[in-house]
Amino acid sequence: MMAAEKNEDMADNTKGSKKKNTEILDKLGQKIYDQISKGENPYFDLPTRGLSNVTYSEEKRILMMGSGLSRRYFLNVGHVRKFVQTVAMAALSKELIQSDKHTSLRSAFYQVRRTIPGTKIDIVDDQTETNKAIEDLELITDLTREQLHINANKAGAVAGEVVVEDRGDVIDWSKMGSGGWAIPSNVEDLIFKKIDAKFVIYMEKQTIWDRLNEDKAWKKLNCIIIASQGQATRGIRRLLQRLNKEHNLPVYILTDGDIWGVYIYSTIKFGSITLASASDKLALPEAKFMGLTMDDIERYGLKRHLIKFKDVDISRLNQIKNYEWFKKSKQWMEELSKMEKLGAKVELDAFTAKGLSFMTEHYLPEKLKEKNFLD
Amino acid sequence: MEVAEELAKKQRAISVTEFFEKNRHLLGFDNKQKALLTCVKEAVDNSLDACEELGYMQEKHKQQVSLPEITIEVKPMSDNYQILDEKTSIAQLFVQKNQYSILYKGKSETKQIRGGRVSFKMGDSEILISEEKDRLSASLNGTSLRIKKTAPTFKIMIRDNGPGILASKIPDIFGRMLYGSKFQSMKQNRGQQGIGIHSAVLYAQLTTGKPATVISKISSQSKAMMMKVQINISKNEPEVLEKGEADFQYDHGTQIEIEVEGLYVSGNKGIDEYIRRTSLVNPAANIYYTNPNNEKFVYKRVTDHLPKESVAIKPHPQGLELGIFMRILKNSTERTVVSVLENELSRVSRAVAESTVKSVGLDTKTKPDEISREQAHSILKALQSMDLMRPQTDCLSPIGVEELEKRLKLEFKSEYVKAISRKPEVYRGMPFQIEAAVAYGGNISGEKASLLRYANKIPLLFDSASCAITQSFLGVDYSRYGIKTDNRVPVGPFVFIVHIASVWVPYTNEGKTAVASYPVITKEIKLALQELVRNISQFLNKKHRSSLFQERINLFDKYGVELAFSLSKLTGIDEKNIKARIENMLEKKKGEVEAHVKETLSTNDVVSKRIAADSAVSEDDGSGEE
Repeated sequence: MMAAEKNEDMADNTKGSKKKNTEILDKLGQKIYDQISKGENPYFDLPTRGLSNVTYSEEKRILMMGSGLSRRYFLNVGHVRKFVQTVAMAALSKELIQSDKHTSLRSAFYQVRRTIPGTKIDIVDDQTETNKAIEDLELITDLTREQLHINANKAGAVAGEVVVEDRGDVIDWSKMGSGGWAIPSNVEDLIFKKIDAKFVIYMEKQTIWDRLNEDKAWKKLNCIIIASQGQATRGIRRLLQRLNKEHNLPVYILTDGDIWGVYIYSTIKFGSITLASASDKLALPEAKFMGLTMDDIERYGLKRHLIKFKDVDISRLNQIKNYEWFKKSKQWMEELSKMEKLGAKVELDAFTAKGLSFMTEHYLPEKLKEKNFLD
Repeated sequence: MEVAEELAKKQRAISVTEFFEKNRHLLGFDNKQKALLTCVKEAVDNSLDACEELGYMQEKHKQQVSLPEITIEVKPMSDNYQILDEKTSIAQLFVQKNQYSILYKGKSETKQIRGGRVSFKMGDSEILISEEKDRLSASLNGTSLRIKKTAPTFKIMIRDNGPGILASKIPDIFGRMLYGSKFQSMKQNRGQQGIGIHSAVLYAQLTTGKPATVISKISSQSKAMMMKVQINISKNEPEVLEKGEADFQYDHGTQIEIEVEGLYVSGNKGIDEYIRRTSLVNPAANIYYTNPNNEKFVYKRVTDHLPKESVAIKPHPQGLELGIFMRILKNSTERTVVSVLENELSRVSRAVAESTVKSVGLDTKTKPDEISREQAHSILKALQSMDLMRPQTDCLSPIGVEELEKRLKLEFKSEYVKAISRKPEVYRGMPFQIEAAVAYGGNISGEKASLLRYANKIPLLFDSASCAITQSFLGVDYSRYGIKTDNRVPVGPFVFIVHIASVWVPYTNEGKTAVASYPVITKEIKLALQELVRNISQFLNKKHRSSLFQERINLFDKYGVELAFSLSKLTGIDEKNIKARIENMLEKKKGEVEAHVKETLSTNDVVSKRIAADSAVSEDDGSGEE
């Protein structure tokens, strides 16, 4: 396998690691060159992505990438395009590291997009292709995309009695107004100056975050509130992990009462199937599910806000029910079968029907007081 | 007396003109456009039938066979006008360049126009025509009249190298209107289609007042005869207006020339297309055609063999109608019913005939004229329930698979041609046979397939939607064979040909423009088309595969260029150096790569689709992450 030795310290972005990362890319290039020189069909190996190559480690309580490898050849009708895209991405990444510049996923697409001279073939046609090439390169080199100098977009929002330093700027999370502070793709360099909070509430919905922020819930409950929009980005997941691991703050997860919410929880807690290789750096086995649970629906009288499941909801539910890491939890199997029985979902937004600040004043305090979480 | 005979008497009482007017649509003269086509069609059908008949005779007498040579010319003659007094037409005017002809009260006169005026003295009337800035005006004895443009006149000439016609027979063949006289002939011929050449002659006479000019020569020893023939409308008798010797370019043959009013159109329903389509199914004929725009078309023969001769057969009991059976009984010279059945019908043995007659309680010695209508009915029913051999099929004259393929290849310069011939089948006692062909590519234009329909070698141009051929064509599931369709019609440069040959083609209408949908006929057509589609789809797959093969092989050269570029950036090694090494590697791996690409082509479609998407120029890969 082409992968270099494990890069232990992700926060370490010194000149040394820069050199080391460049070398890893160089080695990759050199190996392909040598194969070509010997008249061999050039190839590289990368861990197979997908459920089939993911195992659940009971000991660590996270998803781990299995040992399955895929070999990608240049002289293969099905591989050639991806092979070339990955090499192009490696070349771009090396150039970025050397010039100490960062690019976004979107810009990376434009930077490698070109037409092969004398043909009508563009080496990439849309961003999904470059995104995949970047993921492949991460797997081949065992470097994160941030280490490859490619950043995702800023996403989500955070508020709380916290002061951080980001590239020399000091930022007070309690003074960020109605929008909150947007979480960068790379949070490795953040330095925590002051933290006055007892726990973190992460929520999948920006609208709920806006609601809680206006209520100053983070002040009232003495916590940090973080939102993404849909699935949590890597930056948010890494931030949650750092707050938990470095500062011992419990992390509670708040999603809609549906199967998609459950999977958002699963990703944060155990890691994702596609990024199982990065579970060590991203997964948060301590995270707990706050709601919205099936019992909450009953208890808070949300039944009249039920939205019937569609076929996709049901099929996703059946997939998740069979994930090993859920099967191990009796509590979750019960929750999922209740959900299946109900055949409907409830959105967090339904609480506003009981009063705009119902969540801040009743739901969250009651949950916290009773320690009523799913784990 | 039979009802039909009674009717026939009445029919004779009305004038032929009246008959013609009342039956225009049956005769193919519904409108000026169709009329022009029908005139050409009748003459061409006659010529082809006559030429083939001559050829078969020559074959029988072991003489050298003369193959059909048909020349067709359609020339525009004059612009035509009607001169009207109020709403009544009083005269007709024909203008050909400076030559003005007038037809007034049955008399005609021709003059040159001078100084924009021409005057005709017709008895004590004077008709004055003046022309000013391309506009015509007319007056009768000083009173001005209305003038209205009508259909133009065309001169149609058809010449063949057939057997020629005896001088004594010419007047009858061209100048006597025969109507409703068709006895069921159990032989496949073209003549079954139209109503006959005499209707074209009558049409010419009614629209331009001009007789038909016929030239005919019967052998190299005899002189060619010329006759101007018209129909005496009140007596329905031929009239010869002029007679003499003439020159003729072949040793034998016939030429007819008529002048008719008509409209010439190009396109799928016009004469040009009719003749082109005719040429496709007459591969032994040379056809020379000059259209009204003076464009010349030559359709060359591709074979020196005439199609198999069709022979007349006796009616088969299956599908025989009672009326016809009664007539057979009545007209027969046989002495007993049993011998009538045995000798006047096909596939009825003596034993079968006897047991049939006995089974309805009749004596085997019963004479045919003693049979009542009811008894005839029982005999026919009994006969039809017998397990008889199918009718013999030598009454059919197919086009021929090889000839059809050759002809199509020549016509379309197509990449692929396939013709097939089904075994003869029987509908209601009538033998029929389906031939079909497909041509692909070459100079075939158009996004969608076109379907050319034929019945007994006659192209069918009208009423496509109601035709069994079209319906069967649209009923084929082309997608099963990987051929895309638009509104059930295959997409691509295809021409499909379907020909039904039968001693009696069942038409949906009396105009004989569409074939009726008998289940067995539709089934045969569909089977024929399916076989063709299977074949063409194999060809297309192979073609697709070989182009895909090349495309995929080239993939590595193309991506190799990109790999050299990126790898040079990644490693800092000179791009040219890498390029050369990649080329060496590709050369060394050539065999392996070819084997690999071949393998990708043999795997199922899903895989090749995925690969195609991978390698494609712009297809996007919709697979999202989980």
